[in-house]
Amino acid sequence: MSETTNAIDAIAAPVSSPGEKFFPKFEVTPELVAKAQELVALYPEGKEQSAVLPIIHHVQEEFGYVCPEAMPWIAEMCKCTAIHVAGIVTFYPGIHRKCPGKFHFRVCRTIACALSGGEELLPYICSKMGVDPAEMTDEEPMVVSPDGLWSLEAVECLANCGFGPNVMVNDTLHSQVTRGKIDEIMAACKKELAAERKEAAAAKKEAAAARREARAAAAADVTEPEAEEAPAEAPATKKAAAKKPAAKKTATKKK
Amino acid sequence: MSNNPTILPKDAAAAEGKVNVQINGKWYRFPKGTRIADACNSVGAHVPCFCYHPKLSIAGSCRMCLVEQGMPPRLAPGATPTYDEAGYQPIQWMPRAVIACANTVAENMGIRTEGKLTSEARRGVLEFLLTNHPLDCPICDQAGECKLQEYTSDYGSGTHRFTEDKTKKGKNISIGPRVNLDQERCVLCRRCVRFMKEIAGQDVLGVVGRGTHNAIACYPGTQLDSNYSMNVVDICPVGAMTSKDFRFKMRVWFLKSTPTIDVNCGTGTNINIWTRENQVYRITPRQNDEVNSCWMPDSHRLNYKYINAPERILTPMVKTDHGAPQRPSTWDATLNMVVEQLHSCAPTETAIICSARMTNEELYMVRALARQLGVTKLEIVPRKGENDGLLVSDDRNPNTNGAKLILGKNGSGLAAIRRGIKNNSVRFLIALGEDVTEEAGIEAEDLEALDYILAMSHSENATTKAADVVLPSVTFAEKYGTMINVAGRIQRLNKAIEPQGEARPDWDILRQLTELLGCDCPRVIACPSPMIILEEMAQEFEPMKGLTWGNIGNGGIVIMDTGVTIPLIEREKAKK
Amino acid sequence: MSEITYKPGKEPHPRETRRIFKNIDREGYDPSIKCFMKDGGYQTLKKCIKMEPADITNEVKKSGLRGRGGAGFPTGVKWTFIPKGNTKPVYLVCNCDESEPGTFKDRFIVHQDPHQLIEGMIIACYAVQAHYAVIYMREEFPEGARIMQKALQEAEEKNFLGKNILGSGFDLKIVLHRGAGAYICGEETGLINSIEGVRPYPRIKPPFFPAAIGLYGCPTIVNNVESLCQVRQVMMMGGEAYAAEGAQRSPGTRIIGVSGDVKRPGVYEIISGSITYGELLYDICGGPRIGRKFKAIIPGGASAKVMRCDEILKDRNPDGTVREMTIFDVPMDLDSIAKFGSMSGSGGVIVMDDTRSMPKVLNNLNRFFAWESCGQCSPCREGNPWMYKLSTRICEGKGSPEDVDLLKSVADNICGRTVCAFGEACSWPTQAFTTKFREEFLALTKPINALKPHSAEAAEARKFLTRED
Repeated sequence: MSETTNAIDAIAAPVSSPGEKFFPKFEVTPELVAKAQELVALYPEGKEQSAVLPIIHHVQEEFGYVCPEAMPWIAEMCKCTAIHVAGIVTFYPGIHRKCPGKFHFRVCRTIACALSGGEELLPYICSKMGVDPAEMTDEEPMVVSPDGLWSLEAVECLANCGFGPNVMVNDTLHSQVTRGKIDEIMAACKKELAAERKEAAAAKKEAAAARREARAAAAADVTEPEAEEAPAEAPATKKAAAKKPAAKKTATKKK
Repeated sequence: MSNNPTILPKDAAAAEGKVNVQINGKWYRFPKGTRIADACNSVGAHVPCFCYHPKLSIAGSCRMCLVEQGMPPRLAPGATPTYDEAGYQPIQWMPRAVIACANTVAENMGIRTEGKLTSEARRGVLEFLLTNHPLDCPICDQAGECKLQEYTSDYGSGTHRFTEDKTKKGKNISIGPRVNLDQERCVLCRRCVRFMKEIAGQDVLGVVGRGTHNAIACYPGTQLDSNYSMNVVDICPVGAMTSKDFRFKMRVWFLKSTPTIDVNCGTGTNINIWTRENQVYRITPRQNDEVNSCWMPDSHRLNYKYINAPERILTPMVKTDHGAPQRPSTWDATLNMVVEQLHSCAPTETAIICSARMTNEELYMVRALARQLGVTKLEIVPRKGENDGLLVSDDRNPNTNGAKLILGKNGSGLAAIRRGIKNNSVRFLIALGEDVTEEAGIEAEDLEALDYILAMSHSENATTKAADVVLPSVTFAEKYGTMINVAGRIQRLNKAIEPQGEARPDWDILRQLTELLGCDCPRVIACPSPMIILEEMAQEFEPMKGLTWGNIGNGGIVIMDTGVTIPLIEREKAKK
Repeated sequence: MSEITYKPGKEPHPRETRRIFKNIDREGYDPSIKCFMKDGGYQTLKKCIKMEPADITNEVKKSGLRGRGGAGFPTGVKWTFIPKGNTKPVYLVCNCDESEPGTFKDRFIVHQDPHQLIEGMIIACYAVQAHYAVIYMREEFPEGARIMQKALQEAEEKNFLGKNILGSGFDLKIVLHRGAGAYICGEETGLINSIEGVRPYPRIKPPFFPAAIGLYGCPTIVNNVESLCQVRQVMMMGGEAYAAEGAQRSPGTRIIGVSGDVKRPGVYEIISGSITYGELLYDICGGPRIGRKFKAIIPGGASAKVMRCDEILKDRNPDGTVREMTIFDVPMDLDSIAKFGSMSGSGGVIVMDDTRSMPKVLNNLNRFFAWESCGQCSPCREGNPWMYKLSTRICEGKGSPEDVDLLKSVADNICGRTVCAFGEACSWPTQAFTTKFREEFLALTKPINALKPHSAEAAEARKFLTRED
């Protein structure tokens, strides 16, 4: 909460994070609306509000976090008011109001993991990520590295107490984590990123080629007005953007 | 004894649909379904509550109302219950306290609101609530009527043991056009959230954050701007929600509250007027489950500024020459002058426009005046608006039913008077308590053309400015009287402050004028107070039969069937 | 089927009896329906779906099965709490929000053998005639959610779910609902509110007993993952056979998660009451790490009261004589430990050895509870952060001896005054730690600290009251 925003405005105040560059910007697309409606349909009729959490999860998966603009939209989808969505978003620690990094580390610090050295890992990971451990407070336990690649969050119990310390990286749980293992995980993440970038570059090249082809076709077909070109281009880029988190998911799953 | 031939208390109570409950050692009988908190409070065993409000759903979260509870011991199979001499079963007290707001009474239940278990629970909960409280009572508007303050003084420990850093939250936030929020003072009872959702139907408030960071908020960009927003200030047990209008104006312990009714619409919302030294500081709703429950609209609540406004007319004003400006005068001289002037007005060319904002007693005197003058062109000004589906009636006059009953008028003759003024068949106008240029629709140039205007009003307006004589009357806060609301309920107006300046109560002005005009009817001139006028009316009008000032009481009595209901009250009844 | 091999290093201990965990870490086993059915999966359902629903409930009642979420309420009895003559829809919710620190059994079921849970759920739904069920899974199992979602789909494809299950005329839809990292959602009414899409505040009981007024105001049965798997076991074995095994008042197997300072922490499935804490920790878990001694045990999840290992516990024999024992002699069932003031809860055993500072352990727990308090009711909302601040201060050496008593007193003020059991349970660790390890707390305090300011405001105010020193 900064000096200028009051406690209420802070609920929907944008929190900038270097992690944003790895995620598409929140945008209400027909696909997103369709997905939300699909989630709403899972619940009995008239109980649209039940879909608040599932939609939040979907938004978070797609866009990295729940940005202020998303909350009124979710409220609209679930037929409730924005303050209810805000009440839920601000309640659950699993819902981010700030964009995490591309690789989000959750380090358990609850009793069993703490006994096996979970808390001692935090400063090490901080130094590896280049973030300041002092920024992690009880109120705001997530920090994002300046390059947006990493984020670190101290969390409570990950329910794998016998095999601590536990660290979750995106969707994957790593147990009995040591400093050495952290190095390995981070190296693997970097490798994954490089592969993804290569893939994205190839996709971009492909898209550019397709565009060039389309333009050539349009030029050949003089009856087609030029204005048509722009909307035709948009879905292609959107698809490329939407691919990113999906690629991330499959990549982490493999491990 | 178990073989007592006389009927057991439980059976006697059951026959009436009631149950026997022992509270602090004494037995009482309550209807089934009564909440423990209500039962205890009704017999003087006070149960402190923050989150519980009888008109809202149960939250049960403040834990302030913990009481010790006991029930008869569960019987082993085949065992028969034992009874004491009075016919009650023994009570087995439970080791832990229960909340009195969510639980209802049951047969042979025991409650202790005093004792170690309860007092320790109360002290503990209060200590917790105070840990993160800013303790800024010296600058808090709620001080003096703050539940946290009262309970701490009644049940708190007197010292505090919390020496750590407090949780910081938002302070002095404008949460709506009329309400300010201090999240640190809040005890998170969520009364405001529940009120806005359940009663006002505008679900704008919610709780955000979690744990110790929980705070009441509305979504940025939305506001607590309902016409019922200020009710959250009333129900807020602490100083979290404060009224912008009343903020820092006056310490509540300096204020005197007078129970009366609101006159902004036909609902006749029951209110308290809070005054000090002849000045009105605020208006709050007064509970009446047949009229307004516990609530009132902001528009009505804040419409009191005119009472102490500079526009008030403080002395009689007269114009000696038609073109001359008005000058102040004295009552005796003015009234004598008016009598002389009225004598020279032809009754057939005179019209009286009076008001359904007048009390029954005033309308009675209007009728006497009209009869004395022989004027038949008499009408009220109707005022219609939109019904908000809650408490604001579409009839924006508070006493339309009174005017119908006493004058037999409903405003339908107003057009004829307006026409008469236009075509010069009406040359003299008596405007009582109405600005005829407003809802009555008489144009200013037509007023100019009249030969004579007598106006009675509490504040300056276009009619008083055009008038030859202005008689200063009083606002609803300065007089006694009765009005009949849309649902046919007669209710009392009580005087909260003395009339401003030389102003006099309307009924008194009219009575004096009628007397000076030569009326000798004792039923008019021998009425020294509105209470006596009411008794006179009670003899004349069938619906008012048997009414006295006393038996109307603070809640009013239904005296006629109008077929009109108050939506909010209907909804509340349907919920039960 | 007779020959089950487990992955190297993951073999069950000889004293274990693997039923629910039969397929955990099993060689060649994956969470697919193919694997499950090859091993006799869904056979119990096929049998049950032909029975009268009331007979299933009776069988579960007969088995004496008690809930494995922590409270240990008899499962079959819970099912019968649905009001007679109910006309509203009945819902069943599987509580898979495993969030009690020290408990980590559901994780294995969800990730490695999801179909046994689904089968158990279908049977339970059929028994209570619920046509809509929800698996409430904690957010920290994203992989588990995917596995479960796939398993649900597979089950539906085989008509174990959906319309007219196996031609019985019984319809059932199971929805997977993911939480978002809140401990309080493990409380059944908080969980219901979370599904309803409102803030997961626990509801007041009475009147909101889920079996009467639960999800969407309808009768709702909330059962733990392990409980539902046990339901399948009960129906497989028959109620009487199930009841005959293990402790009399809590029959069947129990899954125990051991974490902390033992040689071999992990999850173990044992016959309830068949072994003692000593046998568990020394025989199965290999005892303390080399050169260490056990100091304290939290026997049933983080909120259970801590037990001292050197404490002499006095139990009464059936003949009235007093028997002295230690925590190691207490059998591992649901009730035995309760006699000594703690609870067996969800089966999460956390062990601490003599290298541990108990105030620090408590401070960790207090941080957890302060962070996880939902903030609905005053005692838990305000009390937990206070306890956390106090224990932090004591751990930092800034506490005074009075602060230890204050800490205990704050816990006493929370206990018994909260909306939900979780709010109350958060005071138990503090009560137990400050009583049983009082000397460790006192050792960290200094009387002079009582005179020092503890908050920024007090320090600021002090400037005006005292001279700079």
